[in-house]
Amino acid sequence: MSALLDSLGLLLMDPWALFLCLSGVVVGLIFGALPGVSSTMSLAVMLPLTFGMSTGNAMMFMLGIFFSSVYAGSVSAILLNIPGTPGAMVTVLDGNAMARKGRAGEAMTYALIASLFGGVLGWIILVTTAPVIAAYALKFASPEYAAVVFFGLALVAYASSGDTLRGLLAGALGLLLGVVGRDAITDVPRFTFGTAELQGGLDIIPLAIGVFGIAEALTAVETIPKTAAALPARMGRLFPGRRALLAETPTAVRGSAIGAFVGAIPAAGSAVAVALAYALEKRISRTPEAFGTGVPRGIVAPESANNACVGGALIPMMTLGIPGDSITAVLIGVLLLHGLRPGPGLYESQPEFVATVYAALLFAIVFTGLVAGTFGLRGFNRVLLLPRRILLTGILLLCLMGAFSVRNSIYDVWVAIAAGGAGYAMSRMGVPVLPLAFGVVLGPILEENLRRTLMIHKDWTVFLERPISLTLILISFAVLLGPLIWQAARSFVQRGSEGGKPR
Amino acid sequence: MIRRDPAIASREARRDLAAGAFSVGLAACLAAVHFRQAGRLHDDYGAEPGPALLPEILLAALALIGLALLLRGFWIGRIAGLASREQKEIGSAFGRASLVVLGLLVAAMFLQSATGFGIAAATASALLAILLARQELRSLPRAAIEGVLVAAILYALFRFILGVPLT
Repeated sequence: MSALLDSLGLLLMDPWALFLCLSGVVVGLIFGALPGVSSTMSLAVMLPLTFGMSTGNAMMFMLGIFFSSVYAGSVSAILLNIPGTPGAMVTVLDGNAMARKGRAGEAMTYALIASLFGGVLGWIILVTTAPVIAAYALKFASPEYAAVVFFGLALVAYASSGDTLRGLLAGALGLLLGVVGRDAITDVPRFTFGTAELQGGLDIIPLAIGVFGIAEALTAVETIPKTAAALPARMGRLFPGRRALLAETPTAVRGSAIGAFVGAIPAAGSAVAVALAYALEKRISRTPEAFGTGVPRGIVAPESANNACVGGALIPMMTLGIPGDSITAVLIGVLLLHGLRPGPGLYESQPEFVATVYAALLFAIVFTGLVAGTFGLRGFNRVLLLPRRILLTGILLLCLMGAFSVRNSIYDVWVAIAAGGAGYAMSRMGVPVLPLAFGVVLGPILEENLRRTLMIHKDWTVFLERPISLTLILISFAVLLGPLIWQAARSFVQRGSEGGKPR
Repeated sequence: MIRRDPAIASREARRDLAAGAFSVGLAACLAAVHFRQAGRLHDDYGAEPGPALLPEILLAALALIGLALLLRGFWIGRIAGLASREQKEIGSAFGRASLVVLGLLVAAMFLQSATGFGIAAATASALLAILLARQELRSLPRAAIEGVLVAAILYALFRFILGVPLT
């Protein structure tokens, strides 16, 4: 706690760090508000700008983008009936219904306050639980680490969009890309095809820029609207009243708790959290039929959940080195770029840096509230009228120049373009790209721990003899095979009951 | 996995077949590269499992997943009937506009080696903006100018503020 207070104090005294966080927030608000630009894409295209920054400042900038873009997804959901980010897909239902009734201003205020509430609750959960998990994870040996990585990949393959089998394909492909280059232990080249560029392996940054930046821009090109965005004619009043806001507190608490919990599960992501939070509110409501007609609860639940996800997603990243979602996969890329590998060791060796991350997220929440609260509707109205040709052109150029600036090499630009084309083709084939990115990040960790385990214990059964690794492996197989067995059992029962019916 | 809607089931079957064929094909090609590699890759490292272990596990996994996808694709396709009207719509992994944009990016990289990053970026940016403004014919010249301006601003940001040697 004292390290956190020290970090907060130090960052408050550092105008450059505060400026970077504020800039990140502004960038995130603009990108997040625009339909078709996800938070992951925003981070991927802005990542190269962090090359010259210190690690702490890079996190201030990136977490500013992360938090504010997640909130800003609600803007186009409310005003245009198009979710700006996947986490805002449920906000569309009641947010836009409210806007169509001439209460867009109120809907925006509910979304902002719920987002800030969710962000703060997610932050508290991160700050209180992450050190406990990290302290426990410090006791892990190589078999447990290998099992944790396997568990993370199993969850990602299961939870990613598409289906589990295709998710596994993407995960295996990502792990294979992760082993390209010279082996760290024996210095033997693997899948380098005799080229000098591949000897050092594939860098995660150009891959992330391609898969999350170029591929998403290619998708956006296909879906570019033929007509200009139509904003609501009347915005109405902004402040719904203190009593009305306070009445939504229990909803915000429930939404935030769901968001933080779901966010901490690798790959579950904000889309799952908002759907769960909305479904829960509708289920316990005395007037479930009112949902979808413009009730504040239908905005507060998903908005608190998706912003609480931010803190939740940082828990597995900071404590285990496993990305909580695609955005934290990009954040891991930032840390690796700066020579830091996230995980429990970070809590032991770099407690000041961990405190800086916590403080950066808190600043991002505060700045989001200040900027969105001050410029709110006026600013977003202008952003939403920005021609998409300028936006997409800018994003694609940023991707090219950003990939080049990784190592000042055209080779990285080619990698980004190839990854972009591959990522786009994968999404068209229904193969999720998230497990691919996870595989690239986790591949080296899996290999290191797998080989270390086998070198020390000389036997594969060690994974089944240690309780933590055994539990994780069993859960992983349950996650992967459970749905298949359940589906087979259901179709067997259905067939049985259909066969038993008299004709 | 079996969808009640035959069109959706047919689409999923084709996706499975495409992903499965890609997976098996890639596993086979990479396995050929891996097992034919000379040098110390396949040496015995004693207690250490060696650098070939994980790639071999992953290649086997990739092939098995691909086979499972192919089997599922054939199975669902047989039930749903692959001769769906939707076939043409999903026949290509790329939409036309995306393919043109991707081609532009590739062309810009070739142009870059001859003219340098600045001119290549400005040309690609103008063409991209025109392509994205294709719905409104009147604004095409304006789109081209906007594209060049976007390229100039980003070039200045990277070249002069971030100090990236974009030559």
